[in-house]
Amino acid sequence: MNSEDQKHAAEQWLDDALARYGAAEPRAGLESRILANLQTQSARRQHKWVYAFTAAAVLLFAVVITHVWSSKNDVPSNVVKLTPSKMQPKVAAMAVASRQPQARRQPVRAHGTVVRPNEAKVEIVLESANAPQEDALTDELSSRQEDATPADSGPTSDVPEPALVVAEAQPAPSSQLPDLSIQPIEIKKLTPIKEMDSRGKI
Amino acid sequence: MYLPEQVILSRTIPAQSADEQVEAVVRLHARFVYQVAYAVLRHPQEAEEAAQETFIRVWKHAKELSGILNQRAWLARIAWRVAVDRRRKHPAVAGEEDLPELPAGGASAEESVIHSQQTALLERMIATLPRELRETLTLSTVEEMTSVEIAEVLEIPESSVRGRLLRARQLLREKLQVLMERNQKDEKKDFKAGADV
Repeated sequence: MNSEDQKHAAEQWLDDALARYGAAEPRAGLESRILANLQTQSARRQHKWVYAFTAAAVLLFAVVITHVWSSKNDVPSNVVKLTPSKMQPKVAAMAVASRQPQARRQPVRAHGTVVRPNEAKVEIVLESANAPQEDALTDELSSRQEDATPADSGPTSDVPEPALVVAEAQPAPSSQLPDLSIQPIEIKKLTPIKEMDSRGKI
Repeated sequence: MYLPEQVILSRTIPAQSADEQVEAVVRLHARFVYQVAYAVLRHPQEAEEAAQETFIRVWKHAKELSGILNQRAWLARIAWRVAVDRRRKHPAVAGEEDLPELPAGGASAEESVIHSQQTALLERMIATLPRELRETLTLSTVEEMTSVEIAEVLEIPESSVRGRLLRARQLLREKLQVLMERNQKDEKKDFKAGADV
């Protein structure tokens, strides 16, 4: 066999082999199996959505229940509702507590004179202790206190209960108390309300 | 007024749901997809699983089906990628015992043996080719797959496909001629030995 014949034979062999190489037939019913598999996948995807939705709903319900339950039971112990009858002792206690750090503080000497910080505040506190227990006066007291001591208004307005107890148990020495000055209480006379007649005239 | 082919088709063909479209694609191209997968994997069971996976991917992108012009090339590309991924995960699944059963077609047992030997020899020779040539030649063996479709699958120009096919066949022919010469020499030796005896 010469080289040309050999080449021709190799070419023919290659054609046959390549044709057979790609001629692969699947088992019967391939389309049915693929479609059945796709239906299974589709059902699985639907189930997955159902499961996911159910889980999300349960989670949401649990969160809502927990939130409602905690908001019902979560009453803070340090919050006391102030009634007008309790206002006076509270204000007095706050005043004592605000006076306590002042008593410990050394007076500042400037040019040979003694300057007592927050003097006006102490004045107000003593006033309030002696004042009659009326809501109007208490309001006025608090507003004046705020005007007089803007810097110390924060700590005095939010003094915890234990600090008050300590402050009351250790009264300040009399030597450090500032001078007392009692200001007269202005009593405004109320004008009587004129009654209207049936025609609406006073 | 000029209308693109796609617009005309979408007007004349009644609208199908996505599931119906996928079912039609499966019935039309399942065998083709199997053959593409088989060309890569050379294993019937693996090829069928690859075909299943290919159509699951098609089903997941069913909304894009109506916009695809050449569905065969699109499917071939998906099947090719799926098969290559599977082969990477499970290399060398095809052994001697896994070779496909050749169609009987009235062939004798001797012919079947010759054909299976021929196919095994060709597989070994193809395995020695460079990767680019091997991929192109493998796809070209799939029935009815044109060079245009091969070019789309491999994402190369069609001229490159033709060039690679020519080169691959040339290399295979050279290897085959070497084998044939060696066989002839062996036959001559056997003939001489028989004559001496």
